[in-house]
Amino acid sequence: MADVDANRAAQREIYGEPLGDVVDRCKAVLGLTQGRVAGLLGISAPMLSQVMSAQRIKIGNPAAVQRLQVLVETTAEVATGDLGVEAAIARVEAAGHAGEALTGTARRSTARETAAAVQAVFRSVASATDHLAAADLVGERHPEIAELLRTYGAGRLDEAVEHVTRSGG
Amino acid sequence: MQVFAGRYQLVDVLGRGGMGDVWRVWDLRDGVYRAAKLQRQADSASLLRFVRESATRIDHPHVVAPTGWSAEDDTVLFAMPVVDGGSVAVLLADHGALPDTWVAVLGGQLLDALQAVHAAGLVHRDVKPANLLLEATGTGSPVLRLSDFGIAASPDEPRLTRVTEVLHTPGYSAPEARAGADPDPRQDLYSVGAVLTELLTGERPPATGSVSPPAGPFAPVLERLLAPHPDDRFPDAATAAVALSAVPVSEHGGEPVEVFSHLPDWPPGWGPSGPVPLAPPAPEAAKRAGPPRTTWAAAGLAVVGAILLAAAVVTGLR
Repeated sequence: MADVDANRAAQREIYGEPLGDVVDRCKAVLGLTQGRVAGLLGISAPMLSQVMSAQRIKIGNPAAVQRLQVLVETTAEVATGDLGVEAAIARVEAAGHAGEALTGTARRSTARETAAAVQAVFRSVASATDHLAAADLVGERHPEIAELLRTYGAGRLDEAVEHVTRSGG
Repeated sequence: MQVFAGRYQLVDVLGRGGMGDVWRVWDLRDGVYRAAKLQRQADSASLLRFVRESATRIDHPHVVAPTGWSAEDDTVLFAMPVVDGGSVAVLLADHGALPDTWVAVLGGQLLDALQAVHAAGLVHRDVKPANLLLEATGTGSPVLRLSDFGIAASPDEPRLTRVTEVLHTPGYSAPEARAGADPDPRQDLYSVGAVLTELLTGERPPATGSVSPPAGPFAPVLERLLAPHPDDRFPDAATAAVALSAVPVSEHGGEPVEVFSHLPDWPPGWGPSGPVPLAPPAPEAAKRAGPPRTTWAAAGLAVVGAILLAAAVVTGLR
């Protein structure tokens, strides 16, 4: 059995306060579930639960520690009203990337991220109307290419996700 | 309660991915839980991968072997043992770089598994952390199970489709595989080198360019695994395993590495040894028995669903 009191003291040394308190505050201020916090930090739900209950002292993954720092900072700004919840979460997500991750959240979003990235490429070179015009030009002879142009150049993200999923089989 | 093909009772969702969902199912015939990948027959290429994977049966303690497959209407299911400890990708996310002793043990088990795969005449072609599942052994010694034979291929067989030839995960695939070379067991050895480097550093291999192993006791073995030319690598997995086992490793201090169970809690009506009779439904219980899918999916983490990450990543490449 882990010595929870000693571990909490050790967490206070390392992180300034016990991690259970830190994460509970972030959850309350930002209105997040514990599973969502684990996803944002890029660690598994059981690992987050272990460090929050001080069964373990440290989060081993340094990238997750970085994201936790950003989470704590942004939570403070949300608490004082200087930052919106959405913006806070976006900042945590942008802080160091979660690697080839891990949680169900990250896995489910893969097709979506891919679709968004491909759309970004298309839209960085031409406007939606240009893509539609180009699609009309090639549509007769190359309907699949026209579909690419419409979907990624002018379509909604959901359509692109659908296309990515479909082409990936 | 839904029963698939008269045999598999669907219990809850363990993971979702680009190619379909992974369910925990109760095998009515054998009286055990299994993980089951379900896929709608979307197109011939993905069905081909699916059938290939379900036909790959390698009986080895470090390989996840499918136990059977069934089809019903437009959906196919293939069943395999439940592996409860998530994947090595999850382990890396939780712990960052791993101690030398873990790298040696996991690397040895992976090479043992590949030896069996190669002896069966197959090249795995997608060795990466998300495809290395773990038993939930807590702080005990880890047990790795190689999974996802969706793009495995035999060096001898004729190429079935071009589609299967382009499926690789950047960073882990050997340079000649990326350039379109025919399957060769030594391509898997390169991937082992990339994975072991990631275990030691906690850093994903770069998607392009070469992997450079960190200095330390593993460096000579890693350099041979990661040699750009296959002739400069170990000739086979067994030889690599011997070299790896000879690397002197030291114990580490600090908190122990731990492989947690990542299976969701039992939904109402289910327990460790199968279906449990529900108490006569009180109004409260009836409310809680609502559709559990979302909750279980969120809790599902990598588990056996890590298999599907491969599909999702591959989806992203195409």
